[in-house]
Amino acid sequence: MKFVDEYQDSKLARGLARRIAQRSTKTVRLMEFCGGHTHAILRYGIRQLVPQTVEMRSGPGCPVCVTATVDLDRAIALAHLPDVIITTFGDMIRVPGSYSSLQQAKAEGADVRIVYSTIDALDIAKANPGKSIIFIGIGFETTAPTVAASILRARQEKIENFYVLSLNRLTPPVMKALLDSGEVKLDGIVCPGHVSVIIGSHPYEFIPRDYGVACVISGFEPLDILLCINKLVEQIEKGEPKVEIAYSRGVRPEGNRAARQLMKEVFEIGAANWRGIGIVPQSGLKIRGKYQQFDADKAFSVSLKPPKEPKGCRCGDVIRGAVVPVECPLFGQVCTPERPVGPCMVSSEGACAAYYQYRTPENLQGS
Amino acid sequence: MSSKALVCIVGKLGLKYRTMCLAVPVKIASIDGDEAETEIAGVRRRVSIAFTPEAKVGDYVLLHTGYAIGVVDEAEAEETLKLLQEIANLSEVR
Repeated sequence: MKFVDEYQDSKLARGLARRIAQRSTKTVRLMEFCGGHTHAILRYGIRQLVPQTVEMRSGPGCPVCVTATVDLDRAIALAHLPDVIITTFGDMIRVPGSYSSLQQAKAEGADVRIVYSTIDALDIAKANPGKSIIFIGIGFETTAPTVAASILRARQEKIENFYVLSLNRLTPPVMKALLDSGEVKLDGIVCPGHVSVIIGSHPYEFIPRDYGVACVISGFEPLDILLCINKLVEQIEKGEPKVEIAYSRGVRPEGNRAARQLMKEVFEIGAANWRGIGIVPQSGLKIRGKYQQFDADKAFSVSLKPPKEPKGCRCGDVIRGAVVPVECPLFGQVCTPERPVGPCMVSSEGACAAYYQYRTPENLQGS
Repeated sequence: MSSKALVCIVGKLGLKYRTMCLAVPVKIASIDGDEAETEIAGVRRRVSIAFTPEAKVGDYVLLHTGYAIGVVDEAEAEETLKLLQEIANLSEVR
């Protein structure tokens, strides 16, 4: 595929890795925010390719993983309401809530459907006028505009049986929360490429300015990631942290204004509850009052039992980058992709799932 | 082309493409209002170009869950490849 294959060349990758090793004198810890990056890093053996001075930690960029248990419980309760069809992205269905999962609800007779796009959810709503279709809206700035677009289209086409449970989130505020906590000392951040296609590079500027942490926006192919690491190491070695784009074929500094405009029209910013992190101010997207007829939170009420976290699961610590997955006692023993205990092992973007899938001896070593 | 078929093709391209931050470069074959017919690995799919009104026939766009979220900048793509080569070359001369 064009714009993909060229960025996978192994000879160039080895050259990049050599250059990083030549330039890297200080021991640095870098966090890849995005779960897509975690998977690529594990898949292509980038942790082994880079010198030992460069440590990689996974961050909270896995939409399914950061969804709080109480929100999962709400989605599952909604699924059990009469004449409701739940539509969601594939990963969500297997994530255990406190007492059940969407998959279990489906087995018990609830109508739960996996969709590829919000457009599919709207089509299901049109085809089932007697039912209420609830889309479980998860995802960061990459996905949020598509959720906004679905609400606007539902209004335009008068699709009155379509609802969204908005669990969408924003990236820069949670980066700030992690940096403020000071729990994990970071020297640089591999910033998410497709979030940045939407938001551009400016929203990260507070990170080098206020925290002295280097920020480089990366694509998802192995050479993209190595280029990003190279730029991060250069910045850190020179002591000049700033925001750079290493994915310029996709990301412009100003981002995608049209997509952001749609988000702004439909959503307002509010606090959100993150697994492992807690309530982070200004980090969630709520549906504006103007569009409340599509807000599943307003249209349906469900009663929930107090949430329960899975025993022994360190997903929250993995999300904050406080530990690597192999440091969880459940990893690979009690918790596997077939029988996941926590969401980080379920989601294709989860760090635990990545470490499990690519469990080479090197990847199984701790941090 | 159905979403199922796309997920299938995308699945064949490797696990990384199943992630939610997935955005795959696809080529625009034709445009009809705010929708475009695109091609990926020889298969066609209709996508929304509501976020990329500037997209033209022949452009590559980044496809994410049925929406084009950005137009691929081909000149920048070339520049990055050159830069990668330069950095790799630097590692040879010490």
